[in-house]
Amino acid sequence: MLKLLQADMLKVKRKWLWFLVFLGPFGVIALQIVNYRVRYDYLIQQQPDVWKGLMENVNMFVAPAMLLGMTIIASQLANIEHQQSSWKHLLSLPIRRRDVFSSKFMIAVMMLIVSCLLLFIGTILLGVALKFGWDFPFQSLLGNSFYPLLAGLPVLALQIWLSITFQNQAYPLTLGISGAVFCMLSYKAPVWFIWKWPLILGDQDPNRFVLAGILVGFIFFLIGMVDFQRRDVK
Amino acid sequence: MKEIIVQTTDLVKKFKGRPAVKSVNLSIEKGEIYGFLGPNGAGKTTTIRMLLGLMKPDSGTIELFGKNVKRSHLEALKKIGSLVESPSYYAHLTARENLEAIRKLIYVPKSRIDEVLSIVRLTEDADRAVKGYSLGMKQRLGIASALLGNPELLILDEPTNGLDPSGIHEIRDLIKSMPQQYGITVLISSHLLSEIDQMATKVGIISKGEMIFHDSIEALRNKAQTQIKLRVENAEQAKNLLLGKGFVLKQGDNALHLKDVRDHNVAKVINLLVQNGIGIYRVEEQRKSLEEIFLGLTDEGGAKHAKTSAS
Repeated sequence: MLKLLQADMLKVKRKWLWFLVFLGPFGVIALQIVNYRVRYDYLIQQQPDVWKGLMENVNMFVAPAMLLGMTIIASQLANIEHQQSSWKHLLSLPIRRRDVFSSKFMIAVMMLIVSCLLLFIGTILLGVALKFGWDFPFQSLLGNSFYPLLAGLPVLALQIWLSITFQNQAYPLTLGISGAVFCMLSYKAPVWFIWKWPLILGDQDPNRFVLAGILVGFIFFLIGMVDFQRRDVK
Repeated sequence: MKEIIVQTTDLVKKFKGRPAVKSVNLSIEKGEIYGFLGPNGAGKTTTIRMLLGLMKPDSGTIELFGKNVKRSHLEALKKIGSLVESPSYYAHLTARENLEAIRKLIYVPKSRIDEVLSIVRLTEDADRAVKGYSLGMKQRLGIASALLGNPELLILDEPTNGLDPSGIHEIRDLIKSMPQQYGITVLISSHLLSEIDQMATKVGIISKGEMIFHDSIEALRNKAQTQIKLRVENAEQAKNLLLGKGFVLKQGDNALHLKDVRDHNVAKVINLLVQNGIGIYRVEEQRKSLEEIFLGLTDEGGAKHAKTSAS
């Protein structure tokens, strides 16, 4: 399994995926820099707890960015194998198919964890730069940065599965991008709409979304893995 | 009796109800170069994919290295190197990185990469991105990755597809040397008989999903009937004369075709014709090429084609 991860890490070389991992959080923070420069006074007025206000603003953009990132990373990881029909060779090596599938999933999770970490650091730096002081709420900030990933795991599992199953990446990309767009409009969507989970709506306990995300994400991952094991390789 | 490496029994695979492979029985012994022959779409690649565990057969069994692989292909796959159709590679990586990505998964020492690179003579280009390679180089890289794990069985599906004559020659020599030099058993598929003819020790021919021939290459060659074609001054007279003496022959194409081609028989016929003052223009041996036998075996329409190409 470890060997597979190493091999997969080697394959993403020169694929610009790490750049994407950096671009996501950078973009979100950059938008907030603009936001605060334009209407600093208004924003401070709205939410006297400045760190909480910052987190709410950041969070607005994190969910769609996260969903887009999941879609693109899943598609790119699968496409490495689709491009020169490498699946047939990879799967005729003495390795388990479920490990191949898990490895792709884990690489995607690892990349997104790095993104979340960068977001976490970025949010703190932005807050400090806005003179909110160094006594930031560490735990809430950590949660704000990582919860969208955990709550979004079902979407990631789904995207990985679809990207690997369909050679034509238009299908998973369409679904993923639509999901990212609709997630911003989905405050009132029913609870089963998994694309709204990364929003971690304020009025409800965020832990519910996180727990549901991990659980449903794991189920989707298992379904995808079993399907991948059974599938004939063209 | 030699060890049997590959044995399939009544292998069947259907795609949406249409059988692509129906009851294929293969049997390959250690050290053989087995030529798997058939026209495009006959079921060669499907059979090979089942051997590699990429597809599951609908019925029938596969035994690799004496073990049924229904439960798990893993053990068998450790001893198999393969190249299926177009070579698989990661275009954005160099040849060395490509091999390294595979090497990590099969536990062979790093030095093996240099070995296989030198076997396929890619050492000089090893650190260039594969997207800049010619088709022949990509194909050789494919063979290198098939050899990487020191396989006991090499499965090559159309390995010379799209190569130029010198590339074909190179790969042919490479494949021919496998059994002697490394003790590797080779299964090689092709739709070109001439390809297989020059490498294989044993041949299996598949057509429309069914095995229609399975024997040594000599047995296939023996199917090639030879006859002596005689072009003479007066065919009608010569025919009557020879038939009267009890020789078996046919008339056609302005010539006589003699079935019995043994030397003394031919000598007798010629002697007889000369003695009776019939001028002889040509005496030729005619042999049905393997290509014609192949076409004859694979479809009825081929028979017509064989006739026209023979004349």
